[in-house]
Amino acid sequence: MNRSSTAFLFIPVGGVGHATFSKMFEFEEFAERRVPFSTVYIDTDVIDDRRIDFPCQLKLSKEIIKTLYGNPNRFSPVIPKLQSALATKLEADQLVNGARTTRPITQLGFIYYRSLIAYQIRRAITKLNQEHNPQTILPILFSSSGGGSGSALQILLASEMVKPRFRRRILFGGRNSILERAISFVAEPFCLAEDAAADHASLILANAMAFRMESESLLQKGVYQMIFHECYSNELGTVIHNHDAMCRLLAISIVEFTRNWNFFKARLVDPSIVAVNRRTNFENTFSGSHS
Amino acid sequence: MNELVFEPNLVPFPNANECRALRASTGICLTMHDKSGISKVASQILENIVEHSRSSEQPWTINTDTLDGDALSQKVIDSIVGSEEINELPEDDLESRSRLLNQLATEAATSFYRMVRTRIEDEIDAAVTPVRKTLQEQTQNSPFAATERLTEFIDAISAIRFGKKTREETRKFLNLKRAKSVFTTPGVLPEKIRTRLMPKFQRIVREGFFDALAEEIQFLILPKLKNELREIEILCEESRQIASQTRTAIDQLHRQFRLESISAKHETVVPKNSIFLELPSLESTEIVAGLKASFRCKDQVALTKALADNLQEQLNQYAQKNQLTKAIPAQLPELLSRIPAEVVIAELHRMISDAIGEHLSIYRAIRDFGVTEFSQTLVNKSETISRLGANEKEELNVSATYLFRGFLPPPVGEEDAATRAELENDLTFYLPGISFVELGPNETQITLIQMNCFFPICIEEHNEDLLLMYQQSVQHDHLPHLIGFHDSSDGTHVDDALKLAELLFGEN
Repeated sequence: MNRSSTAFLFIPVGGVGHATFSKMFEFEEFAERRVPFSTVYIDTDVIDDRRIDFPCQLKLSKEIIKTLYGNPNRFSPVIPKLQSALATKLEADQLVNGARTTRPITQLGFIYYRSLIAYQIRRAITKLNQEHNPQTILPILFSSSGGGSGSALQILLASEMVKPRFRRRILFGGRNSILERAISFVAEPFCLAEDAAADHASLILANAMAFRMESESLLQKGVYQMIFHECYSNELGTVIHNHDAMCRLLAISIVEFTRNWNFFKARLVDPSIVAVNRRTNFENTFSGSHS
Repeated sequence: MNELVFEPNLVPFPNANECRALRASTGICLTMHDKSGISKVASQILENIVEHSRSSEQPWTINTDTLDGDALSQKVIDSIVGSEEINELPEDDLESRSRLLNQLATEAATSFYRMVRTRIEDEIDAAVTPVRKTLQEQTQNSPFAATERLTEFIDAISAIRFGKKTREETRKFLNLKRAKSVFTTPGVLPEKIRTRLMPKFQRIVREGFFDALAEEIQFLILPKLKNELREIEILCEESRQIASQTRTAIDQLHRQFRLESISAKHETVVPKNSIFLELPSLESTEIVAGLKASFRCKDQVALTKALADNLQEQLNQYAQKNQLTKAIPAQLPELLSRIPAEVVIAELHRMISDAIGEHLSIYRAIRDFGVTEFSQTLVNKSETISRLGANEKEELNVSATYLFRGFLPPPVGEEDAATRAELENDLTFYLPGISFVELGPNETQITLIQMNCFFPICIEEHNEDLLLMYQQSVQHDHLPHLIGFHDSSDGTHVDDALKLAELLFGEN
C-alpha cells in the first residue's frame, strides 16, 4: 500500500458544517475521493447523508436527561452546573428539541454521547489507516460560530481531542503522534443573523463572540493548530450575503487548504509566526479538566 | 480571572496582548453570469423534445390470438399424430392407448410423455415469444402510449381461454374400452348386429382416443401457459413502471428547471458590492437563433428534431458508459427515466452553450469593463477581513502569510486567450505568487480568493459588533458560553468582556 503523508479527518459539525461538506463534493478531488479523507459528522439534528462515513447524532431524550442529572459523578462533574444553568432557561422536558442557539444544551449531549463520539472517530481513524496508511492524520473541524451546536462542538471536540484519556480511546493502540491537533474553519454567522429576528440575531452573534473568546483561550493552550475565519465583509464591502454563498466559501477554503497543506505545514513550524506568547506544551497547560 | 487589557491601537478584545497569531481568514470575490435566460430556453427545448417524442410514437397493438389453450393443444396433437408411438398402435389395442393416456395424466417420465412435453414447450414458446418481444419493443418505443395500451393488453390476457378443466373425454374413452368386450366376445351380441356396429364402434373409439389425448394435453398445457402469462403480466407491470418513471423523470426535469430558474433569479439580486461584474442574460430569441444557426435548421420543427437526436445520442453515450439501459441504443424516453436529471440538464446546457459559444464568454465582458480595472477591483474586493498594518506587525511580532488563488474559465472566443493572459498578468502583479486553476468547459464564473494567515484575532474589526451583541444578549438571559471554558463557570457572560463592552458602548 502506498503511504500518504497526511490524511484528513473531516469533522463537520452542526447544520452549516453539513451544508459545507455537501459543497465540497462540487470539487472533483473530493467527489472522487482523491484526497485521503474520512468523515465524522456530529449534530444534534437528524443526520441522513450517505456520503458521511460515520454519523453521530447527539439526540437528547427525557430519559437521557434523567440519567445525566441522576448520575453526575458517572458522566462529568460539570453536570450539576449545567443542570442549574439550564434550569433558569428551560424545563428539562424542553431540552430534547435540539440546541436552539443555547450552547450548553449541546454540551449536555456531548457529555452523554462522548463514548459514541470516541467510537466513531476511532472508526474513522481506523478507516484512514487501513486505506491510506498515513504518516499523520489532521482533524479539520468546520461549522459556523453562531449556532447552538456547531460552535459548541468545535470547542468541545478540539479540547477533548488533546486530552490524553480521550486520545487513548480514539487511537486505541495506535501511535499518539499520528493524530495532529485540530485545525478549525468557522463561518462568521452574520448572514445567519441577518435572516433571524432581532433578538435571536443578538444571541447568534453573542455565541460568535463567545466562540472567539473560548477558542482564543484554547489556542493559547495549544489545543488548536490554527483557526480560519471566513469573512463577512472587508473595507470595500464584499458581502457574503446568503447561507449558500457562506457554505461555498467555507468549502472553497477547506479545499484550498487541503490542496496547499504542505504550504501551511511548513509555515506552522516557522518560528517567525510566533506572536507575543511563547508556545507552551499543550499537554502540560491542559492538565486541568474542563468537563 | 484575567486582567482587563485595552490596547488603543488594536480593535478591542479581552486580553488582546495575549492573542496568538494563529488565525487565518479567506476573502472571496466572484463574477456572475445570469443563466436564467438559458434555463428558460433549455426548459422550453426539453418540452419540445418530449412533445416531439410523444407525437412520433407509433400506435401499437399486440395480437393475443395465439395464446389460446384449445388452439395450442390442437397444434400439439397435429405435431404428434404422425409419431411412432401413436402410428404403430394396432387398431384394436385399446389397452396401449389407455396406457399412453395414463402416462400423460400421471406425468410419468416415459419417452411418450417427454415427447409430448417437448412439443408443448415448443408450441407455447412459439406462441409467447413474439408477444413478449412485441411488448418490450412497443413499451420502449412508445412509453407515453403504454399505460392505456397495457391496460387493454392485460384485459385481453385475462380473457384467454385455458381449455377444458375436466377429464370427461378420458372417462368416455375408458368406458369404451370396457364396452369393447361386448363387441369382441362371440355370442354376447347377435352376429348380424355385431358386424353392423363394429366399424362404427371402431370409429368412435379412434375419435374418443384423440379427444381424450387432446384433453390430457390441455391439462399439461394449462399450468405452463398460466406461468407464461403470469410472466407476461409481470413484464407488463415492469413496462408500466418504465412508462410511469419516464413521466416522473420528465416532471422532475421540469421541476429542476423551475428551481434553477428561481435560483438564477435569486442570484441576480445579489448585492452589487459582492458580485461586481455581471454577464447579462441572453434573450430567448437570441439563443434560439444561435441554436438554429449552429444546427443549420430553418424552422422550429427541424431544430427540435435535431436537438432531440443530438440529446439522444449524447445520453446514449452516457448510459452506455454507466451501463444504465438494457437496449443499446435506447430511445429518448427510456434514457430520460434512467439518467439522473442533473446530467440531462447539464447536457442541455452544454448543447446550448456550444451552440451560442462566444456570447457566453466572461472575457468579452471583461474587455468591455477594462482588464486592468477589472483585476484591480477583483483584488480589492476579495481582500480578507484581517489587515495587518506595519504597526501591528511590529507590535505583535507577526509576519503575514498569504495564499492567492484564481479560478478562471477556459477561453471561448478568438480574443479570449489574450484577455485571459492579460488578466493573469495583472493579477500576478497585484498578488505575487498567485496561482490559477482552470475551470471546466461550461464554467463562466471567475473566482478570486485570498487567504491571509497568521494574524491575532484582536485586530479583527468585527469584534466590536460581536461584543455589542454579546452585551445585548444579557437582556435575554442568554447562556453564550460553555461551562468550564474561558472563565465561565455557569455559561453566563464573562465579566471582563462585559466591562470592556461597557467601556466602549456604555451600559447595556
